[in-house]
Amino acid sequence: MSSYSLPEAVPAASSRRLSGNAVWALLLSLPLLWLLVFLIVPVLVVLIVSFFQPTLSGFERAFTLDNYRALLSSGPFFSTLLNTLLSALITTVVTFLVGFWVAYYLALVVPNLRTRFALFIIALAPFFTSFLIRAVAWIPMMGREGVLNSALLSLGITSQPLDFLLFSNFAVRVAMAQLYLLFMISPIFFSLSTIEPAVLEAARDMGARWWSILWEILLPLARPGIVIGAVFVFVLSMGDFATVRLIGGGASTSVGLSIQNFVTYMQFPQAAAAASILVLVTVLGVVLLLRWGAIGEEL
Amino acid sequence: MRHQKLSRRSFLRWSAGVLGASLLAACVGSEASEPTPPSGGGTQPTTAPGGTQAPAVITGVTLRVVGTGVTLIEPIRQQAEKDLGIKLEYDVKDGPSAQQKAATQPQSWDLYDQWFNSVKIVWASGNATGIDINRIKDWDKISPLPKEGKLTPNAKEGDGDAPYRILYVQPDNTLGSNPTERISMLPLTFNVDSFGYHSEMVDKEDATSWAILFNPKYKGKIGLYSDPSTGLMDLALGAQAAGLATFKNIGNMTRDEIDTIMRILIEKKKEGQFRAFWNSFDESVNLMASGEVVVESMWSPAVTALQVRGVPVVYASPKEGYRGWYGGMMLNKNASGKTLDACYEYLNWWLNGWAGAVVARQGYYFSIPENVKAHLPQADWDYWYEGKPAAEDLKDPFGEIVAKKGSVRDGGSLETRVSNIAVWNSVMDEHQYLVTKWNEFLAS
Repeated sequence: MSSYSLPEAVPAASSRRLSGNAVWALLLSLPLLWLLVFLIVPVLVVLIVSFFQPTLSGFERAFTLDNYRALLSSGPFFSTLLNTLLSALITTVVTFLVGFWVAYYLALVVPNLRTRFALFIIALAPFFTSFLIRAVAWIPMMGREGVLNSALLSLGITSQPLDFLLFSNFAVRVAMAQLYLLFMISPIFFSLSTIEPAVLEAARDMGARWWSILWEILLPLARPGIVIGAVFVFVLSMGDFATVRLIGGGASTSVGLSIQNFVTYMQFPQAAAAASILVLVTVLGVVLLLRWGAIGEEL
Repeated sequence: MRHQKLSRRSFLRWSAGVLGASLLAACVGSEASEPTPPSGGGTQPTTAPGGTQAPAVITGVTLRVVGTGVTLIEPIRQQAEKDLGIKLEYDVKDGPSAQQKAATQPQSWDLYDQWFNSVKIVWASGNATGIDINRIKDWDKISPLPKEGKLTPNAKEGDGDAPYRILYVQPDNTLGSNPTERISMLPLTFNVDSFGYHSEMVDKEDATSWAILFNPKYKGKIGLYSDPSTGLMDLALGAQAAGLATFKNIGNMTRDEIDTIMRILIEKKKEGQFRAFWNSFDESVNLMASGEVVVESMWSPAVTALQVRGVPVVYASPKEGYRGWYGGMMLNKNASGKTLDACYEYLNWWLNGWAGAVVARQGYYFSIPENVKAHLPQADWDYWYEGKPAAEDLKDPFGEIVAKKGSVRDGGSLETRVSNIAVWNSVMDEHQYLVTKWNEFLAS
């Protein structure tokens, strides 16, 4: 959409027939329209449908709170929500613990800028393949007769294949951490890259140990990147259903998967209600993350 | 009814007034659940404007058939195009997705090729219309199984949505067993399903009953189908056989019965009885082939596919009876003129048995066996329909060997197998309640 409109906006600005403010208004109207059409309207539609009465093959336009009542009074839905939240938190922490060091190495240890970006691209390479293929690839890896189990058996570490490696919460979390790692590495890498080497040099000259440089300089300065990465990973894993379905195999669960099931069985209002609850919880989580990030900057 | 009944599509049309047509188009396009955005107009591009006389061979018509890979296969499409002079577009989906498209996107199909257990839902969406049996040439030749409920007088009828119970359109536009001249779905292919088991890992004795699904011996090695209107039937038959629960009508449970079975299922799932739930045919094959499960609720061609790959899987013949299903086609209420004529031509073409012979070699039966016999070599007929040993190596429609010389079809002849149907794939009266509970079971 924007690629069509830009060529019009640019000559208009250069001919000075429009004031600077008008150009900005024009430029901003595009993303605003985009948000309106693809975010706000769909969210409103989902919200409206969540209050409708479901029927066998659709819904009636009759207001009801039953969809929410049924979900909120259902123990399994709550445990699903908690499990989704737990998986998202674990994925976020794991991707941070792994991603920070990858970003650290790329941004601060590799001396040459060209090598640095070459390595960064290599780190991204697995993400050039489709999301689903990367998820499916875990099955021959972790299955009962998969690579990992075969290796463990032939090395004599275990005498029976380990079932928890696939179709389990464990498997889902491992797969999600791998799938979303990129979204943690990139923002941390970019915020670490902006740190002036002189700052680190000064700290070293003043006698700061590696540990205090990390704790007092790197982590605070990387905090915006960490928060952005955490928001990405948290939001993605809260909404995940494909990984949960493929790698969970029915033994793991998420709200996203519940929504997909409701849609499959054409119970759109329940799907919409579950989606609204999920969005609410996710937004709360993001707000908490951002608040934590802001406090960090004040210190 | 006070409130206007709405499908999602008509809701969107309604909301267009509020949100503006352009926003509507955008938000329809952005819905991830919708695989193909429909054309905005809502008119049928293939329908000729005037209701001209139907020519003998209909030309210039494209029929859009939405359905599953069970019957929408390339050899059938090509032959039908050749015989009828029409163009056919097959939209192949898994069962639930096809049903969803039929119920929510009426502008996108002319014929819906699926199973009787989705008839109630698609009929309730108001997108289908009755098929006039006077325009179906071979109607009288269709076997009594879908029309009256039994193939032979002393066969079991089976609980649930047996086709004949929802076949005829009644004067008040509901579906019932009282014969009329309009039918909801033209009955075509059918089969009886059970579970497959790995013959080297499973005791033959245990595999004679659905109770095997709850047998602690195979804990963590059971695979199930994740669809409620079929997956639950298997589990309910198993629970009943294992003495865990009893049902008055296993094909139409009460809320209490649903609560009971769900309590049992969630408990068993937490104990780790079930290894995985599959959604697609390929997944079911892979679960067994990769050794994740040794007992699995599955479809007959999946068993065949595994046998071809050298996995020693047997399709069980449980003593409690099979779970039956019947397939066929429903007609879109918007089909008119040349398109409507083409629909009937295509339906009549299907009944002539050529297509039935193709699907026979995948293990499916056909509603007019004698028409299939005319198109099927004797050796194939004897193996698939009569349950006799294969006189030679038999191939499937795609040229792969599916039965080695001398092998016998699991369960025997058509008559033996179809006489022992315990329950049909069904949409229960409490379907919506069941869906909510089933979702909880999947999520527990």
